[in-house]
Amino acid sequence: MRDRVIMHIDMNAFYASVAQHLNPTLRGRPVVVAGDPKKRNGIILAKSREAKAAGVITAEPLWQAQQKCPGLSIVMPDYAAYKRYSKLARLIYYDYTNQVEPFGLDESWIDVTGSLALFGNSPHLIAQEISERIKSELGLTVSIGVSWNKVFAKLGSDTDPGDGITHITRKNYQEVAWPLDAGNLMYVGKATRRKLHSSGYETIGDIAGAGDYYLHKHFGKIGFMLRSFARGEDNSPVRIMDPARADVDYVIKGIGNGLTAPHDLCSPSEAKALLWLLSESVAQRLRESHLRCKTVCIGVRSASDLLGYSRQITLNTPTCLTHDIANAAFGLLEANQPLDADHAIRSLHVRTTNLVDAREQVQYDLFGNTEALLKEEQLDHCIDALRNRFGNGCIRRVVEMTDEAMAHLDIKRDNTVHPIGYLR
Amino acid sequence: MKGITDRIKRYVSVTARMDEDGRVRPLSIQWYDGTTYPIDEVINMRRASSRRVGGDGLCYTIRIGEKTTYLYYEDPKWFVEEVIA
Repeated sequence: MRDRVIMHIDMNAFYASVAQHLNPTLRGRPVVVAGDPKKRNGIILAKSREAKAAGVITAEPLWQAQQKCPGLSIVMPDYAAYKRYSKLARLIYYDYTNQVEPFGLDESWIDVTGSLALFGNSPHLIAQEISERIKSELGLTVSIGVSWNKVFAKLGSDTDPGDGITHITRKNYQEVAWPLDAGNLMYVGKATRRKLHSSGYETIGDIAGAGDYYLHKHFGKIGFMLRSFARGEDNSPVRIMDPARADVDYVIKGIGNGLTAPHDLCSPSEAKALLWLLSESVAQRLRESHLRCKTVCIGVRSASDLLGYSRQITLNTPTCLTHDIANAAFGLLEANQPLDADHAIRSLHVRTTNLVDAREQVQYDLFGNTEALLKEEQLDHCIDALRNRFGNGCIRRVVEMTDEAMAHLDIKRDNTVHPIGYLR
Repeated sequence: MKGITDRIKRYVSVTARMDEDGRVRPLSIQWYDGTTYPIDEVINMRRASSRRVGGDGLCYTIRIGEKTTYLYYEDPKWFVEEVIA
């Protein structure tokens, strides 16, 4: 059978490029997209090529970046614009194939095997045309990797960060892909990289040649997956998605919200306020998606060493009630650490998993007060309806208003879904 | 000699005709000083970004008198690349 032709298209320095495109005076200057230092989420989300050259790295604090690169221009993130350009780019891809699988906002795989004949039978021509169209129509640049499988296509687009086209073919993959550092391969992160290094595996070629025993012993079944990735044996298809709603049409596996608090949380009431705020947003999103959750997880990051942990609890009955989720979350937090100034908390995260359809029958407690529960659910739906009409701030809980700095947060409104994940 | 030193993005009022098939054709541009410039010809229409002033949308190549210029429809606003001399 004929090999597939898959392209991975990666928009270069996406957030920063969009900022430069919308404001041409920023072009050619070091630009970073960063959060608001006043709200204490002032870390670098994205950087332009010029800022990268100055040594600025993603996720470092703003002040550190400014030290490395004086005269750095800082812009606030504009997710509406990113979504718009992401969609416009995808619409261009749809001119070439219906198989477009977005991977985050700025990356997509497309499979052009079937439509090759319509465009001059040359993958290079298609890649060139896409690259030129994105440049002239959207003012952004892309790097494109072309290969016969998704993993090498991504590898190709990652190796050329400029606006280039990299081919990894069956003829050249041993020369192009194998000498690269193992960390370039999908699913080789810091920890896996370290493990590989400690056994003397440094490059992708080394992984391709690794033995069964070693891989299974150290990585389990993921080891075999990594090896097949390195050998180019990945045959996962490019998923066909609905162009109209390609952003979030995955099966929802969990709903969560997290926030770095405007100030460190040093008392039970402060922690409670934030947990309730987060739970409120999570529960509201659960109800909107007609889901109930069975498991509630919290993530906690401490202020002193910035280290974190997470804990989870499984509930007796599935719920979508704000107060059930919030109480479970607060219970978890209380059980796991003292809440005082010595154990101040930097950020909190509430996540619900183990989701079930809200229309499913729920087995309640034999002696529990079902009527009260149903009433409460009605109340929550009522509050949701009010918020839909008048904004999330129109009705608030007292527990959330105990803290002045947090009282005005609207977590639900500020929430953006970034779908990412290769193994689904 | 006076030349083009720079260009800025200038949003303008546009009188346009919308056909029954949804196609939009700009007919005239109202400049901020009150002058109305009738568009004599729409030469071309395509999706494009403006490298000069930033932004993107439907780019109409238009002729006003003997000058050819670009008019962008950046949903839902119109802009031109204004010359600063």
